[in-house]
Amino acid sequence: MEYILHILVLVAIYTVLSVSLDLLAGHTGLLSLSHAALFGLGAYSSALLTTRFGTSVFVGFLVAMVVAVLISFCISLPSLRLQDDYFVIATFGFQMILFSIFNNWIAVTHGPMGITNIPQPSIFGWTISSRVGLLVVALLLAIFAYVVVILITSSPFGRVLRAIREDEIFARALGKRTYRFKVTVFAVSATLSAWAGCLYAHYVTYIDPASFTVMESILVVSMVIVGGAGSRWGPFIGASVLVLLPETLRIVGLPSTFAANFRQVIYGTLLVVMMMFRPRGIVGKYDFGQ
Amino acid sequence: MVRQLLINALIAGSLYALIGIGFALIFRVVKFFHFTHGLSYALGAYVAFGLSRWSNLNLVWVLILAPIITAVFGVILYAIIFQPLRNRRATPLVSLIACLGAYLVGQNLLSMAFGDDAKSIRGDVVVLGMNVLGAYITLPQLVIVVFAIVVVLGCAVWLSKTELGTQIRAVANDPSLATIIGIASDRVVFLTVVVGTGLGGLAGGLAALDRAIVPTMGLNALLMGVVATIAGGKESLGGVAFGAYFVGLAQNMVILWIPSAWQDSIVFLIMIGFLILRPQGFMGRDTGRSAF
Repeated sequence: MEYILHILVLVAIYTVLSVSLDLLAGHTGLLSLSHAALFGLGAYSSALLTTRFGTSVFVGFLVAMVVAVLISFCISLPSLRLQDDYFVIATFGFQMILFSIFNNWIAVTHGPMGITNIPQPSIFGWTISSRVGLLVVALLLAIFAYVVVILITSSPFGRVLRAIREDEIFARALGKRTYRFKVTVFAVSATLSAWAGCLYAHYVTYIDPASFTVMESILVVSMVIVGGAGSRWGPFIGASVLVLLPETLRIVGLPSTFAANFRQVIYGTLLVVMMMFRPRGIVGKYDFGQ
Repeated sequence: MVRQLLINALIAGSLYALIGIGFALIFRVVKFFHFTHGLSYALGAYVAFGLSRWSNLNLVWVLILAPIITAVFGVILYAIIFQPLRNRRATPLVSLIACLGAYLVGQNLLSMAFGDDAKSIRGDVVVLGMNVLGAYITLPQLVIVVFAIVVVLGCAVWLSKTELGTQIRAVANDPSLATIIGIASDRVVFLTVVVGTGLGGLAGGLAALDRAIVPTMGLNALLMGVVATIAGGKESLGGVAFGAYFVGLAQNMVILWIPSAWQDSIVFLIMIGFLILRPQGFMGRDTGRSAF
């Protein structure tokens, strides 16, 4: 039972991550490979505040948002001047730089040793330590992320994002300052990812840089693409499939040395297959990248 | 210290030039970031490792066979990745993601086959290198430097003087125009992918002589090749080589001022700087699709 709850919490956290990436990749057509770094940024901000300065988890979430927005500007202001695949490469570069900061700025992040004893989330002095309680918090965050994305995409603002995805020059010709729209939506997406990171840090109570590598970024990209970029339930389905599928391997009884490799083989194969045969994903209506 | 760093920069730059040339060659005709090139590099290193561990061949044969075996892998890669993407007229972004997926599969297959621990074909004896102007360089490192020069010059001559080289440049410049004048584009792309992959295997085989062999070696090396290509300008091989030595130099000289752990971050900052300020690179003319 504990195990099933753990898996469900992971599904919820990854849903937040893939919903936030889908806002960028699916709805605006900007594929970012830096979401694991933004996820890590939230995790580290909140973990450091609560362990070093003893602030409440709530303050951790708020500061993580501020940090995520500021860093998202550092990433998006230069990268968004680039197109399609060059944007991917630039965000890839930022992912590597941020990972290097997590890994090498030992005075603050403890480097590869990571941060231990991160407090579990608490609201009004009441600490949530049961798995069921944590699952409720994770679900609330996932629902919140969904509400934010649905509100954005069904507003006039969201229409401009879709216009940017379909034909940016045309959107600009209509007088839309597309660059500003893109920077804003990147900041929103970064905030949601950072919050997923906060929740992750306070849920597992131990973080190290290995959770925030570029491989993790690729995993989130796979979730969005497998589920269906730019669709309502796609990110949720993608996150569920890609979290649950490797877990079934464990039940089948694959040796654990192979399991980690094998799950990445699955992610990679799914990416190739989806890109070649079904770029709209399982439930999507929009052919990604066409 | 400075002299040793310069020698290290020369060795690193030579490796990046070898990776970058193969990468840029393929990039010019397919026009997307084919991350699978990192796989060719790692495969070349593992083939060299396997041959020297489980056969009696001497290192010269290892270095001849590693690129050939990797080139055969290039044929498979073309059949299952490049050809389907071309048939579907996939956009560069879609192709990039597909290649990223293929890279992920390959890297993990390597690590399942050989394990995650670092392999080496140097043996246990630590040899002090030759003394050149007060800095040390070992024989394998010298081989890498010489090979880089030979490959860069060889490719430049091959592209400008031979018929296939001219066809490759034609397809790189304008695929439809090349087809109109009767060049079989598919065949040219196929041969470029095979030769480029073989060059990646050669780079990996050479790197195996000097460095630790791990399944993840491909991605980092490939990124250095990508940065070299972007910094140098992807339109000319001379530019790529120049970019490679520039990256090697930057990466090694920053050690004078900051801890070596930050080397790679500096390289990525340089890459982002180039993408934004001078996307055509040092030497490139902006002929193709621009980054903006």
